[in-house]
This record gives sequence, C-alpha cells and structure tokens, in this order.
Amino acid sequence: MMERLQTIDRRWIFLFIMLAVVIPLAFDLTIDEVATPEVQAIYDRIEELPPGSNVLLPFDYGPESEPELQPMADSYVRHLGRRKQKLFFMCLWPTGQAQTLKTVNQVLGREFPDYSYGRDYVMLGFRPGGQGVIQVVVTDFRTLYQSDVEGTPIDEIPMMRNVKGLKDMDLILNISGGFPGLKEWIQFGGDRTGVPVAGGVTAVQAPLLYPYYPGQLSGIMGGLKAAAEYESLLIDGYSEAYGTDTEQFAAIRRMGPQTLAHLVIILFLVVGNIAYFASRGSSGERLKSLEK
Amino acid sequence: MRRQIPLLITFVVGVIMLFEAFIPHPPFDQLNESLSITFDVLAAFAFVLGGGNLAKIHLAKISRSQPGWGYSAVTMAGFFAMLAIGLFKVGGPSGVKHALEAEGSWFQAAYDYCFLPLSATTFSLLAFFVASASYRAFRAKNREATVLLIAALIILLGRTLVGAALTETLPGSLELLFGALLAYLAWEQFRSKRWIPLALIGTVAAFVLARTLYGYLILAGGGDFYLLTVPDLVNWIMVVPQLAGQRAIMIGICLGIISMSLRLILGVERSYLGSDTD
Repeated sequence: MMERLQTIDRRWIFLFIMLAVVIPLAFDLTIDEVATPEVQAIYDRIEELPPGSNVLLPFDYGPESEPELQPMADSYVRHLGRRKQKLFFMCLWPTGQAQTLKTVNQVLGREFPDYSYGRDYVMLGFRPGGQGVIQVVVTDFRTLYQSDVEGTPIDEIPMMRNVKGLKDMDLILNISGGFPGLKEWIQFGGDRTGVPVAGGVTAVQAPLLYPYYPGQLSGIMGGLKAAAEYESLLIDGYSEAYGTDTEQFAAIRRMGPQTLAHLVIILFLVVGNIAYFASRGSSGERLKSLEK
Repeated sequence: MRRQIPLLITFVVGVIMLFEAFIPHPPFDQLNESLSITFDVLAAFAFVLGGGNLAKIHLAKISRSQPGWGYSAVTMAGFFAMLAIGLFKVGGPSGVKHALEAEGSWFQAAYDYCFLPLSATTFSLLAFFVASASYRAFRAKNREATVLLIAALIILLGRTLVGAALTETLPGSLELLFGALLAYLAWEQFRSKRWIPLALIGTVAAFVLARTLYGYLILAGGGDFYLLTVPDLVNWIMVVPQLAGQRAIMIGICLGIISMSLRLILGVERSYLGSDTD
C-alpha cells in the first residue's frame, strides 16, 4: 500500500491541484487577510505623503508574473489616486509598458476619470540598459527621455517641468519580476539619491530582498498574499469608496485557489513522507527477516 | 594591439567608475553619467544583435531540416510577424511619434491576446510540477532535509489562513508541540544515559511546558498572555534565520564581485576577450 503511494501516477497529483484551483474559483471563495508589517509600512508611507507628491512607478515585469504582480500595480495606483499624487510611470523591461497601460486603463481610466494625462500622470515608457538607465535618470530624466510614449517632448508635459532627476521624486514604488528590478532600484536609485524605495516582487524573489528591509527598503510585498493584504488595507481604509465589494480586487479573489493549492501541497508533503518512512520501515524489516 | 586596446579601455573605465563611487564630484560624476549613457546605447544595439542571433540560429535549423525544425519555424513566424507589426505600426497611428500600444494597434492586440495568455499559461504549469516534485522528492532523508521540510511546512501553513486559524483555535499548540518534541529528545538522551544533554534538553522542555501551562492559567483567568502563532513563527523564520543566510550569501557574492572586478580592471582576467585564434 505504502509503496504504491510512493509511486502514484503524477496525473492524480495534477488532478488534485486542478480541483484545488478550480473549486474556489467556481464558488468565488475569498479570504480576508491581515497585513504584515512590511506591507503595512508601504501603505503608511503612501498615507503620509502630502497630496501632489511625485511618485515614480517603474513597472519591471512581464505577463509571466502578471497574476502575482498586476494586483500590486493596480493597488498602488488605486491608493495613490485616492491620495491625489502625481504618477510617473516608466519601465526597464520591454514588456513593462504594456503592463503599465493595463493598469492605467483599468484603474485610472475607470476609477479616476478626473486624472488627466500630463497633469496628473505621465508614461515615460521603456528604455534599454537596465541599471544603466537608473544611473542616468538619477541626475536627469531628459538625457534618456526626450519624449514620452506618445512622442510628446518632455518639456511640453506640464508635470515634467519641475522634475529634473530622481531626486525630485518623493517615493519610488517599484514592481519587479526579476532583473533589473527592485534590488537595482535600491542600489542605484534609492541609495544614491536618498529617495525612499518600496515595492512588490514575486514570492520567490521576496526572501532575497529582506536584507534591505527596513533600512534601504521602506516596505516589501512578496507574492499574491502580500497583494491581497494590501487590498484588504485599501478596503478597510477607503470603505466609503469600496464597501465590501471585492470584485475589482484580483489578489483577494485569487487567494482562495492559492490557499487551497498550498493545503494540497502540504497534504502531499505529509503523505509522501509518511509513505516514505513506512516503506523504509517495511523494507528494513524485510531485510532483517532475510538476514535471519 | 587586438588585446591591448580592450584591456586599456577596461582599465580606464573601471578606474573611473571606481573613483566615482568615492568622489562623486566633477569630473568623475560627469564621466560616470557619460559612460552610463554609452552603456544604454550599447544595450539598445544588443537587442538588434540578439534578434539577429535568434534568426541566424533558427533559420539555419530550418534550412537543414534538423530535428525540431517545426518549432523553429513557429518561432521565426512569430518573431517576424511581431517585428513587422511593430515596425510598421499596423492598425495604429503611423509615424515615429505615436506609441506602439496606441488604440487599435495590432502590436498591443498580439500582446494582449497571444503573448500574455501563452506566457501566463506556461508559468502557471509550474504549480503542477511543484506539487508533483514536492510529493516525490521532498523527503526527510537526513537531518538537513528534515529541517528544510519543517521550515517549508511552517511557511506554507503561514501563507494560508489555516496557519493563523490553527493557533487561534488551539492557542499554545506550537509550544505544546515543541515541548513534546523536546521531551522525546530528552527521553532518547535518558535511554542513551547521556546525562549532560539530558539536563540541558530537559530544562528547556520543562521551561516551555511550564510557561505554556502558566499561560493557560492566565488566559483562563481572563488575562492576556502571549502564545506563539504560526504567522509569528513564519515572520521569525523570514527575518532571523532566512535573513542571516541571505546576508551571508550576499556578503560572499560581493566579495567575489570585488575580486573579479579587480582581476578585470588589472587585466589578470582576460577570458572575456576570447581566444587568440578567434
């Protein structure tokens, strides 16, 4: 029995995982999250900023990490929009601009119709060079960004008139799916200018960034759970705007499948190890009987 | 000369960048910015080089009908289709000034309806393979693997609300579990007649169990007492042992980078130049 469990057809495992993902989605299972200190720190940092502050939002990720990172991007923009901050979007990944556009259309376009392009937000777009781009924009955006994504010269954009380099930002909120990403923004951006840096990364990356928190990194969000925690904070903090409707909060809705999938994996780990020890015990007894 | 000039360039650029970190004043800061811009320009050309290399490899594979040439054909079809759509801004407003992602652009449509779902699907498959691998390979085969397995279980539990719910409905369960584990270890020491480890482990086990019982008494009396929860334990794992390990790795990597950079600047490391016969 235990040996059979050890060599179970992996298609059964795939079936369990599929059910663990599909069932919560079908029944719209949502879970309320309690924010961890690292997530709460980002929320508080944004709350402390006076309205009209300059916030740089480098979106450095692609579609492969969208399920984890897009809810973070949407939440940041949603929160910053509520606080009436000026948003400067840019990206070090070629796919970042398309992801930026998604957030701009889905959040700013729908929820903040009074947000005007060029006055309240600007999309600077992608520039190649990774951390080299950060090193240049530290002193002057215009060296690499003569125009925005629409082709409008930078000097003709009202909100860029008083902005020269990274030092003119009040906060850098990066979302990163790998290299270049949050680590590079800390090392080449935040550390050189003194501008606070915070951001969100995939769950796999998060442990690598803990050494920077809370000194060089004001706050960190790792994976879907942190995104759901942030969404819960937004719902609590702006209940007059969102009520109890979680429809637009993707991370909270996705936490159901993730929770159940994690539980299935825990179950597999436990069952796999029980089967391993039981079969090891029985083979050991068999060896002893053969020796006798 | 083919080797001396690149070595000289590396030395000069390396020294300038090194000095700039310690002297952020003219002319070093300006030189640093100029060199960073040069790097960004070169990075833009790397895209062309990368595309050319991709085309060269896959077209050669197709022309020789090597095994798997069909996949190469699909790659090339996708590559050239996206290149043409992007270069000629099909569907969107033409001209250098307009964005690739403008309203009606085929490039954005291809990104949204092909690239995005394909990438997300490929990445999502990982969940199935992780589950399969965790069942088949993640076994407590030795002491190190056991520690890793326990840490993984705690983190996984903590990442779900079940972890919090467990310790909320059964307060002190982690302490009792830990105390029981220590008591078992103490019993093993007693059986082996190792008295010093027995005294040490037994004292800790007694302290943990006594503290938990004291906590229960306080809680029963309506007081407030801190008992460990799974989320707290997860947080501790992340900010203490995990962080210590990460810092050690980072310091090691940094020392390696410093050593390699010095070798490059001083011309000791020359493998990046290629061989003489190239």
